[in-house]
Amino acid sequence: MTERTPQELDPLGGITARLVVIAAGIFAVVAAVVMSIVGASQISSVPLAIAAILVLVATVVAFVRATSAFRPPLGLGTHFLVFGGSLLAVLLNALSQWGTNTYVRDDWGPVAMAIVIFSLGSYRAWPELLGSAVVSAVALAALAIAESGSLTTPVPLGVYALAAATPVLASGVAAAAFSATLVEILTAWRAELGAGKPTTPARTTAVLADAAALSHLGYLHGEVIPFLESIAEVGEVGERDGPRARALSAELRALMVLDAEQSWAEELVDDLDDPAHLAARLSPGQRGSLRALVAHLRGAESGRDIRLVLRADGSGTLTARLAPGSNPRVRLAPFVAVVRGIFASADGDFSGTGFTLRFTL
Amino acid sequence: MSQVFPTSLAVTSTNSAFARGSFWFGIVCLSATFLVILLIVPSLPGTGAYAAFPALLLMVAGAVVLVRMRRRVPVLIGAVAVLELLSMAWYTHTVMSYQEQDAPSDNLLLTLPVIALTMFGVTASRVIRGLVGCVIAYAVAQGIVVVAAVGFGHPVAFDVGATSIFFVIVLTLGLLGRARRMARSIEPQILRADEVDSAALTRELAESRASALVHDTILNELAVVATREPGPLPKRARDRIAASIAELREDAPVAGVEGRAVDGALAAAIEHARSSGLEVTLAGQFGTEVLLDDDTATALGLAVRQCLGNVAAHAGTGSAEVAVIAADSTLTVMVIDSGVGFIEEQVGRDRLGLRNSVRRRIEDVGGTVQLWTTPGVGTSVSITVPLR
Repeated sequence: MTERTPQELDPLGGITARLVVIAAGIFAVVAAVVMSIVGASQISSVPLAIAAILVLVATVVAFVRATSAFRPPLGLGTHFLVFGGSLLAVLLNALSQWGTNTYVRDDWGPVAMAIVIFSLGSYRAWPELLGSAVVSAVALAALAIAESGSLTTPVPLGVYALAAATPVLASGVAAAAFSATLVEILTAWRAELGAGKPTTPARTTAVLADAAALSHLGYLHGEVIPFLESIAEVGEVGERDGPRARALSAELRALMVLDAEQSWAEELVDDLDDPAHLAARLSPGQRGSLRALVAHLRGAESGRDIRLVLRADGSGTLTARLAPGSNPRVRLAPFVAVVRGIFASADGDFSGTGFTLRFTL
Repeated sequence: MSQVFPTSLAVTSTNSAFARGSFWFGIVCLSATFLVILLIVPSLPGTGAYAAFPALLLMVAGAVVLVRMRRRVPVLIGAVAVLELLSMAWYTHTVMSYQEQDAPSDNLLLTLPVIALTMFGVTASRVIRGLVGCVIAYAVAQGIVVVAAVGFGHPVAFDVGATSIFFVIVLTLGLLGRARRMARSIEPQILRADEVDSAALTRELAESRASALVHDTILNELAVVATREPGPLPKRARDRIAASIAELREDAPVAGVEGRAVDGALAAAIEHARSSGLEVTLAGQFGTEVLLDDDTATALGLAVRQCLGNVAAHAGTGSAEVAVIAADSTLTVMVIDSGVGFIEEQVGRDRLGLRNSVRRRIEDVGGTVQLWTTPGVGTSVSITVPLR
């Protein structure tokens, strides 16, 4: 079974960690630039030094983009992109100093890579993090040994390898431990959540009274029961009672049909298109997440024309028009993340004042 | 029930995860230090540098105590802090005694333990709130190295590696709180939506139960009145109308269903059908002692009553068979007739008997309904419910 990731189990945690990804990414790039300037005397190829920094920037940008709440959970492809991109930056950094690198401890490559990969702990599972960190550490150690000809510190080759590999190995192991601990806690919480879930909601007098007032039962208690009571009391069927009973029966049956076919989603949105009655198949969590999103769209975002389309193939689309001039991305991100954590897949999209959420059950 | 990880748990769980991650970060750094010493000792005069190993092991032992600490024990935290810092002083003294005079204070053998102690300070943040542990550990470890470097006459250098790691940790811990407040501000709205949904679901269920009951009782009584010639109503019909109204108002189980044994649950339904003139034969494990929840027994009795009512009203045959099959965790009741049958897709939308009074009612108590029907051959309805 594939190990679940912290982001899959707690989508809001993914949003929390995004700020750290951005900050760590900026810190890594600034460190790379500053250390390149400070150690400029060791650079033999400026174009390669610039390329190394650009690759690091591209890797950080791709990482930050992939952590957006409006995108699918950060996948294995992005995981390898972050590790691969960082390794390429380290390689280019080493090549830019090839033959002129005198001191391995002032190379920014391993430090920047360690900073970037630590924040992957919130998004990927521990076996991938640990495996990638070990492979990367071996690659960095090999690279340090390969360029040892120009290094001036009089120590065995193994020390160069350890100096280069330790930051990435320590960071990767830490990220893996972080991920494993969070997944363990979140899995236990989910199991507890499932165990405590009532199979059917409680039946209360207040709820029944509420239902009676709002459904066909209001008609039943107001019209039908008094009619039957009067007949039982009199003990006789009058001339007009037969047609009246037929009319009441037809009316009651029609109201019951309407009640039976009414969907919770009809009350939620302005326009529901659900020919296959898929709304009835949504889980309580799925319904709750959509309710919260729609309530937010109507309230804080002044949303209108909210439309929900559910297709027989299990796909759905929620669209809304938002107030012009508002910038709802940050506010909507947690809601979209929650939807994404509960549905099989979900992603959000903005075009002008329109917001679209696509999801699959 | 909310599907959002509560903020209160998110704070403690992130702290625990961060503490565990920091612990392993430090362990890797100390392991690398151990290996570096192993690699360079052969090139040093004598083997005195091995004296650094016990100091490293004591640092690891202190960190293990911190990571395994379940609650704040100030005395123990203080003891671990003293142990870590004395070990660092011992280690630094040993290493510097054997290093060349020109080795700067930020060399690999000194910077790795400084980073490790800084990370162990983060591990302590699980029991010491905030960044206090991390800041103290970094400052004191770095201070020990600088003081020792001055004492031994080594060049004092700014430790870029350890300081970078320290700033990244401070930045991360500082941002986590702020980002968490931002991302989790929606928690009350999600909880509210869940409550609204739960209430709606309860209302829906209540409606469907009431609707099924109305179908079983009131619509039948209206049909009786609608088809009778004007004139006196027999006492039996009057009693049935009164019973139906009472049943609906009280939302009570059907009279005669005691809600526990199968026989009790079905007896009223079968009696009701027989009193309407339907001939009902019984088959299977009627005498079996099985237990049902009250709700399940009531739903089963009412659903079977509706099935038998359907046979009487639509099957064009005056007889039906009721068969009971008990398994380990389920009970199946089949209502079989050899009447006219029907095509399910052609049943009008307004015919709620099978949909509400049988299928939905049984599904609401966790059961299933299967239907086999062929025009001209007959109909079989199989109702399976979970045992208590």
